[in-house]
Amino acid sequence: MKPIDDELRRLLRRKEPPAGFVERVMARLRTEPPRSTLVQRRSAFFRWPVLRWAVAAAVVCIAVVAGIVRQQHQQQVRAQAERASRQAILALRITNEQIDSALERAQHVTAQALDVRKSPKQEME
Amino acid sequence: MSRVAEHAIDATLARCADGDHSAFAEIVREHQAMVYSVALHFLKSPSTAEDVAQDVFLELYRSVGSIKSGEHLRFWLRKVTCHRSIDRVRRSKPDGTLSLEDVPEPAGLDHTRDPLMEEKLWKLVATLPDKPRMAVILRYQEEMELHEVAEVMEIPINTVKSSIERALALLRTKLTRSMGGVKV
Repeated sequence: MKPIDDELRRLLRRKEPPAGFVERVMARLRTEPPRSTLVQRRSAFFRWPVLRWAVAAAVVCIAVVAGIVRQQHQQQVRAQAERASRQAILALRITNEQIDSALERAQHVTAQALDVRKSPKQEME
Repeated sequence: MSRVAEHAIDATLARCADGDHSAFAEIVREHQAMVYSVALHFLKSPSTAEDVAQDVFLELYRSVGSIKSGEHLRFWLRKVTCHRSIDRVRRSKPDGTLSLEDVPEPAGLDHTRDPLMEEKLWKLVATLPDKPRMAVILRYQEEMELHEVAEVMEIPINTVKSSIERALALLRTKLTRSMGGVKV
């Protein structure tokens, strides 16, 4: 008796399909819808009117929302800039007033000091 | 396969990708025995095997643009046939009935064959679980290496090796027992 490997090879040898197999495959092929590429599938998708309108509406909605968000962001940036500008002007004004006050005090102190130095000389004369 | 033959297959594939039906018919004619036999040995029903084989070729027609070479084509056909056959077995519910067209044609007289042994082995192979059965079919029908079987079935090579070893041991034991203790 032959080893089981040989028996399996004999048992499982290739067999031809029933006659007319190729013709039956080709007949089924002719009833198949034509092959579609990715581009064709995409265009077929857009041929469906409801979907076409839905996609158009979605694109418009996204554009409107994006516009609103962008506008709000610009307004926020503008408001922040104006607030910063006002704060800077206020700070400059305060600083200016403080400098004026300091100068005034300095002039006053200088004037007092000059008065004190003049008085003993006048007494001597 | 020679380089000339490979070039011829590449040219046929290119024509087929361009929608040439006669080129596709050439491919079907060239590979019909391989696809049909894998399905037949696994499913045991000529009509279901032909149905699966037709489905495989129609699927090939739809994705022929992605086939790069003759070798890739053989790999693709074996892989898809293997998976479609396993899917078909899992989907179908065995009802124990056999249609007339499912009965194999009587074989011609062949003195080198042992019809009794062949019939028993045929039945025993049919009792193997799905994946080991498919591994045995690919190994012995297509003379594929273990790593090739693993790639086609998308399972680890060690699983293929152990499945085939276990299947052979099981077949040997059962066949020896059924042949009245004659070792095979």
